[in-house]
Amino acid sequence: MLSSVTSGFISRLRSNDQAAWFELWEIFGPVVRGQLAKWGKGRIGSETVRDLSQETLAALSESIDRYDPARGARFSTWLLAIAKHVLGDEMDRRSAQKRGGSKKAGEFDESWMKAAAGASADEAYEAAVFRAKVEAAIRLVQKESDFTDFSIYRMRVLDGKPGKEVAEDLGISEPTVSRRLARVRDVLRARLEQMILLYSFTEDERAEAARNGLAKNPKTDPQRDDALFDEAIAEIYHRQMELRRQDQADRLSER
Amino acid sequence: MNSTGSVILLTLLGLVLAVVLGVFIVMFVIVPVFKAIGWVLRQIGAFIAGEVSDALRLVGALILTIVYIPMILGAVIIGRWSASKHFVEAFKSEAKVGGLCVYRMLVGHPLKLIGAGAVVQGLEERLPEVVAAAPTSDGPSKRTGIFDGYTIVGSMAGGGSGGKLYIAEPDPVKAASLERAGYLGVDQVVIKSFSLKDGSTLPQIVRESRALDAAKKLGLVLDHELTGERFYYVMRYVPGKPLTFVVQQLHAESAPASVGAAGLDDQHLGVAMGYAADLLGTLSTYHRGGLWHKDVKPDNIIVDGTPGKQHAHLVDFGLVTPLRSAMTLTTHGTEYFRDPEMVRLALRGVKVQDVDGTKFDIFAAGAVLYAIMENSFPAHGALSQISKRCPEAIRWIIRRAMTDYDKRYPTAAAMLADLDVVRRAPDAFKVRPADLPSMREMLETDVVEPAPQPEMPPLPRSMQNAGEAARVAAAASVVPPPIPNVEIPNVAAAGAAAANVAAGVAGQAAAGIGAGAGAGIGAAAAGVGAAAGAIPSKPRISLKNWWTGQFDVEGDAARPAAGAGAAANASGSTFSGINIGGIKIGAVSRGTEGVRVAGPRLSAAEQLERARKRVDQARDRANARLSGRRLRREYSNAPKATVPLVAALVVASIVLFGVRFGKSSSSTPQVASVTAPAFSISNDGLIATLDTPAGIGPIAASLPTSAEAMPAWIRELPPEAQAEAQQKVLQTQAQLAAIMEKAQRELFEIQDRVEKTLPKSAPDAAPVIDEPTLSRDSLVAQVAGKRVVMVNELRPPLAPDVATMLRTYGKRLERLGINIVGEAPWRAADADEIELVATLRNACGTTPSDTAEFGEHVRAWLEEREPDTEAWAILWVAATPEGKARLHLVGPLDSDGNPDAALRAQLLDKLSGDGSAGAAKPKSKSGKNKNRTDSPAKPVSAPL
Repeated sequence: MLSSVTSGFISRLRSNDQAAWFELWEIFGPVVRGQLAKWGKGRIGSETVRDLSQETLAALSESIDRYDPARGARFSTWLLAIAKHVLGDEMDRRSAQKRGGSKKAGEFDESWMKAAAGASADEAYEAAVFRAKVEAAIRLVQKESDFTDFSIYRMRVLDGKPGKEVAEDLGISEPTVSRRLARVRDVLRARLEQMILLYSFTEDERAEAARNGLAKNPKTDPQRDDALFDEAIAEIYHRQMELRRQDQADRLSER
Repeated sequence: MNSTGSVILLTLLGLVLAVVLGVFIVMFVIVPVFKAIGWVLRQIGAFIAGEVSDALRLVGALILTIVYIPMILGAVIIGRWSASKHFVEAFKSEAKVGGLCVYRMLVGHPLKLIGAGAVVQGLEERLPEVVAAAPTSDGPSKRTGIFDGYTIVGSMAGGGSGGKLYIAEPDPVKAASLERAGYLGVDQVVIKSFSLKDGSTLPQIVRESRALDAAKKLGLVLDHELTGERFYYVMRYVPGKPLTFVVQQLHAESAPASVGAAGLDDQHLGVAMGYAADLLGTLSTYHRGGLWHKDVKPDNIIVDGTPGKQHAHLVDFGLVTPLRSAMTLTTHGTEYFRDPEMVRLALRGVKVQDVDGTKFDIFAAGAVLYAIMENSFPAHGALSQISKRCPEAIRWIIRRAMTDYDKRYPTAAAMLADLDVVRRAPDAFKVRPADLPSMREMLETDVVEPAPQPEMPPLPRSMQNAGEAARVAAAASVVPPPIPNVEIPNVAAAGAAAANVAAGVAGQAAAGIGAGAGAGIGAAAAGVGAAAGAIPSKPRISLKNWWTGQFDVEGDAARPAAGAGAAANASGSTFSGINIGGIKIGAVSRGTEGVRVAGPRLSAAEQLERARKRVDQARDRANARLSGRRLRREYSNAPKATVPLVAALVVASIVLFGVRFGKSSSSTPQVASVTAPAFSISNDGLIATLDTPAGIGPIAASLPTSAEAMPAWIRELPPEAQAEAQQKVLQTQAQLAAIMEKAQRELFEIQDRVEKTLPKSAPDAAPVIDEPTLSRDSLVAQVAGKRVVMVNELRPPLAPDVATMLRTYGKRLERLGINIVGEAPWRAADADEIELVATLRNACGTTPSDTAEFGEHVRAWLEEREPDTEAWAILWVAATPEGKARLHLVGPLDSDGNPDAALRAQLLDKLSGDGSAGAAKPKSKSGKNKNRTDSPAKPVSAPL
């Protein structure tokens, strides 16, 4: 059962809202690229995976109607299917352009559909998708928060600096650091819940946050632990950093 | 029994050993052998499969090439050139496929079969890369053509824009013309060339030529040519290495042992920060000139390798965009250095003028600084982690530059100010983020943490512009104009916050007005100079009127920005405020106008008046910046040397201006009657031409030209100071020209006002239009409300006679209800009009205005415009070789897109002003030109 937030987002994709496509690819691009490269050994060349650029994806969304997330698939599987579809579409489009013939994109290659239908992503991929959702929440908080507030959170939690040093660097008191830190943390919890709701199709996916030590509702959860929450966030952030660094290295090495 | 048991035991042992041995043999001998056999078989299988599939592909390619040949010939025979080109492309593609198949069959697969895959990899991957990165041919192909005035001496690898890059040297004539245009010491240039015949596409040419005018004004582009088939522009050549390479070197040279962690050591850190500062300085110049670069990245930054003079130069103007462009934002740029927010906005179809493009350059500058520190790209955007050795303050600067659009540094100058603090510190690692100027400002506003504010919508664009005026004025001071901070009793926190914002906006607007008031060169310069490093102190409020709540602000806050404040003080301004119902309102009162309250809502007339002032201020600033851009290099003696010259020019301009003003004021009663001489009219084909007769001109006011303004004392200076001194001369000329242009405009406004106040019975004001009312009315019905775009090629300042003549003609059209927009000397163009004229100029390129080709360009442009809201006809003011003004009237067009000759003839009659209908009859169908030249010596009284 899809939430209304998710349905709204899918509708935006279906109505070819390029910003929604871009958003999707900004968040999950590296994960999907990594999975496709891993999966497509022998079938999809690394160069083709690289071609999954932001604009390409944003420009190609005609056939999304064929994928119905309400059939019970997980978001992660659906995402991979879309990526494969777009990849196929992009390849057709490029070959059509090379010929200099019709400007219309080539017909959708059904073999990609079949491949996507039989796709079963591994655990590592599932975890990576979850981390991407957390990263999306961090990005959202960065956008919404005051610059100094988020910088404090970043220095203290993501960079692991002691509170005293942060206070000295910024010329403010330690209690101010703590207060501002808490403010960002609260927003982050709320946005995390929102992101997980947005990018989840199944109940199992929605319960991932709690399973990963990121309690869903801090106000009502007695086991809420800010230190653990920060630690989990920092770990996910660093792993995402590593993933993006790897993604970047792959893309650069192919250029 | 025992023996039996031992036999069994031995047998079992033997069996176990045999099994173990068997396993070992299987594992270490048989399996590898089978693996090897399997590998060999796979290799053979892959070889056979590859050979067979390539052979089949080769056959297919051959068949197709054979099929294409008659198709190509057929298309050529029947004259279908486009189709034949298309088939040739397909033929080439198949031939390429066939060639690759042959290569794989003969070289690739056999080498892979014998295990030499690494050799193949080199051939197939590295070789194409090297070939792609190689410079292009050292001279343009015959199809590209030659570049007049330049000798090609080399070439460079083209980027992703599709253009070809040549290194060239200007010949003596061209070098002299560049010098005359103010480009001194140009030894070598880079020519970026796009030719349709050479594979470039029209969209590439359109994109590259979009910001040409602005780039030329900034001195980035020295020369250009735009024809129907090719486009090239000329830039200074900066020898050096890309920053990417230099950063790699800096990191490699940094001593890891001394710094204890990977990253730059202190010495190299200082050098690297210098490059970043150069970049920010350049960006600041771009932004002040109304442009943004859009493709800032290490590969587009060239580090000049001259020892002791190592500077970073920003190159590649392929994506440079005017900040006020009406074009839709595009996603062009380079990943990792392009703000994702820009992509989002572009995908939403936002226009360039609706966003602040400078912010995207600032993001890219942050990304470049990140790349310098990390020797890597910011793969994680704003969240990218800096893991190498880096001062905390630099981390802060990078994050502030790469953060969200509306929280980013407001200007490149503000970012530069922060960076300079770190650069100049004895130990960069001791500088805390709290020591940075921008941080100090943030902390000051955070002293009292405000209650959570309700989400406020973004300021209306007009208000943002008002704020921008002050922000630009205060750019050098980094610290934005402080907001008067007055305690407001009994007001809810949210209301107080809103009041702060309102007062801030008003204060910023006030700063802008203040800056405009001190329009003199000295005042502006003093403002900029005084602005540097100013830190505001808390303002003091003195209440003037208990009843109304009127107050005055004393202290730094009374000078909204130090620079602007100097100018404001010069005009006797005071900053006043009023507190009405908890809302603070600030305003600047000027001279004797008294306290003028800037309320939250203004009347339309007031808003218009303010908008006009803002446009004037923006122009003044642009001119000042334009001329200031060349002064980045400081020579010790040049400023001293130019002082007498600047003074002389200022005096000359004042005298000149005074004479002009004196004339106009003394002739006020006659102001409504201006002598507008007759002119010769040629109403032929696409363009009607109106030549001014003898007696009018020269077209420019008598400012000394650059050649005349090179007195002996400049030539006696050392060579490097000569260049600087001459640039200062040019700068001063530009400023004077701007002032005079503005004065001319104001003069016309005064004349208009006087005209309105004169009694209609005044003999000089009586219209001298001698034509049947009926015909006039029918003409008015046809042309009323149409827009005529005036494009002025004449260099300002115009000679008073020429300006008056243009005004007269303009008036004659306006009396018919026609709206004249664009570069009319009597009015300031708004942003849309500037954009419209820019697109027109772009469409015409450098085609001379007296050619049929020019007419075709303008007609094509005109056909695409809406007559009522964009352009109905064009009035193009050009100069003849003899130095006279010449007007070209293009349009109006009829429904088929052809010139409406009859209507144009009527318009020309009206323009001639003497009622000599028929003076400009259209060309007859026989093709004979019936040009008519009026008596040039006979002045015609032209009412205003």
